[in-house]
Amino acid sequence: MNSTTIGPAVAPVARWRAVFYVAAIATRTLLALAASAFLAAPILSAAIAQDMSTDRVGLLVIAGLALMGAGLPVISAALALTDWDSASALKGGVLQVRPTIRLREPKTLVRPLAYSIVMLTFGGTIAAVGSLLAIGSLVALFSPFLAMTGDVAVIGPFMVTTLPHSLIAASVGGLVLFAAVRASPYIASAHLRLVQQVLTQPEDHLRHDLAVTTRSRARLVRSFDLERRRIERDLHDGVQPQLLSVSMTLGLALAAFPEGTPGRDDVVRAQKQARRTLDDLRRVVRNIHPQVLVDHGLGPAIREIADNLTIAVSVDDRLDPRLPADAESNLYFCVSELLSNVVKHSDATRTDILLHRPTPGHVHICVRDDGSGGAGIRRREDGGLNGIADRLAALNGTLTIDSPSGGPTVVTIDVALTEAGTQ
Amino acid sequence: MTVPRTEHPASLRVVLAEDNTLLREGLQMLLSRSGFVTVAAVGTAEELVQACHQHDPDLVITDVRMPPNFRSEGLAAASQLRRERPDLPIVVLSQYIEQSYVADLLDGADVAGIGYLLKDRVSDVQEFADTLRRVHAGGTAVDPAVINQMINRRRDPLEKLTPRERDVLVVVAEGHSNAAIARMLFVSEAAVVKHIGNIMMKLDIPPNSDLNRRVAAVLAYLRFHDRG
Repeated sequence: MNSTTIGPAVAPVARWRAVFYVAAIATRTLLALAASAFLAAPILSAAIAQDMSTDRVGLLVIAGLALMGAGLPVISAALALTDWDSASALKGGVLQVRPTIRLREPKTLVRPLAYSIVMLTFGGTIAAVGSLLAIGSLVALFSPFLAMTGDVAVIGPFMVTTLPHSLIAASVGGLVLFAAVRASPYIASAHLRLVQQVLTQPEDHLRHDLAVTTRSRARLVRSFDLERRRIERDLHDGVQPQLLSVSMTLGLALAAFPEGTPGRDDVVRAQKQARRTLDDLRRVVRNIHPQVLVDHGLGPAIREIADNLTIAVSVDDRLDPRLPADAESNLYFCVSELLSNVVKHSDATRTDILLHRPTPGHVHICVRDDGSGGAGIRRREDGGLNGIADRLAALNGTLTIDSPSGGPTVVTIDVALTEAGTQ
Repeated sequence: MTVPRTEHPASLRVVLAEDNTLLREGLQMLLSRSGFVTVAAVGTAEELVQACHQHDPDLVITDVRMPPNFRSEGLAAASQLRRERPDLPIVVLSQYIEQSYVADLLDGADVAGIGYLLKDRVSDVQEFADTLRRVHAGGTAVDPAVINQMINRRRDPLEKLTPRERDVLVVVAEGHSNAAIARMLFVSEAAVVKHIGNIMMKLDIPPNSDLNRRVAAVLAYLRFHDRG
């Protein structure tokens, strides 16, 4: 067999488990039917009673309605939840979102009630007929023994007294039981589908999917940052030392060359080139992932960016203790992008950055510049602000831009250090 | 206190810590050609501390980022060594200019005999060797790039300095003597003294004739503002 299943696989249900499952459902359904009948007893008795005053009939009907109003939701909820649990157990716990039923919230009762109506009417009929058939078949199976001892087996409307009749009855009963066992897995699957279809709330599924998506988005961003760190490490441990080694060797050569030796100028030039390349490389590496972020945290890392800018930047770092590594990386790149936006677009002369934690589980970053404002107006699909928003979304954070034309611009980042940010 | 170190600079005994083999060997070659004796060349911070205990070197040269975690193990080892032997001259080589590392290095320690240099500086062999000797002699050498960065950062007190005074501040931080500064900037020694006096005044640091304390004051200023 070479078939591929996309989506939830429908695993075949084991036969004997299915038999017990079906038997249990039938029992529960009949019990629920009996309980409902008990609730309806006052009304039924009022209907049956021949000579009863209208007052008493009215009272009985009201009492019956009250009993049903209070009892039916309870019965439905109990039936729905036990059926859900057994269905889930039959599927090996695959049904993920157990319905929440609160008697005080009618919204949550709609589905269990709908389910119970189906189960008590349609399901109840099948359960009653099925149970009678099963019991009749069992009796039929034993009827030869009864006939041999001269006893009488009563199977529904039939009376079996002779051995040949009892043998026929036993074979029919055996066939019926065999058919019932064979059919059980299909009945069980049908019931499973009914449970899933009626009791699963679509919004629970959406919520579940959303949680999965949020986690996978956080994972993606994290793997992206891990990759950056790997690249930084490769450059730091591989390329930079080699280039530095070249520069050092040239330095040694120069030290050995007396001034004015032919070719010395070329070595000097080569050394200058090597140094310039090292400088460029250092800048590239720093932009990929700054080591100071790992060693000293967000505040000092942002200070290092600030040191390399042409505008005045003050950093007020009140983040203590340090944030989780993922949050630090994400926020670093967000602030870095914000600062480069300030330098590129705002004509600002100074920027103030405040980093603090209003509560231990909450980070607030405020970047304020005295530039010309208007940030976010020319926001493009692939622009830096969207990149920041994407990163923050992965952290469950928000980005607020207040940038009236003419300035000043205040950009605030709020992040709750939730599961997604701390994993 | 140990016996005063009066050996000729050529016989300075160095412990070198650098995890990259290529660079470690290059540095060893450079040191031996410049007249230093490398008594131990190691690749981890732990080995660095052990080697210093074993050899009692005249000078330590260490990388910042080292095994096992490749964070600032080298700096941590340097701080530990300084606590154990406050007069041990240490030169820290770094791939990056990070002010917070300088602050770490200088934090709580007597700053005499400390150097913080970009790794690139080793390519100027003569200058590098001179810097090592200055640090050994108790000088403090901070990479010009760090001081430049600090000056470029628009800080109010530093904005009060004239361009000439900034030039002087840079070479002061490198650990040069007044005479050397005068030679480098083509001015008289008296002018250098005057500039330094002005710098100290503008930075609110009491004037002092002692070279180390002068540099210490500049660095203390750097450290203070880095934290503030």
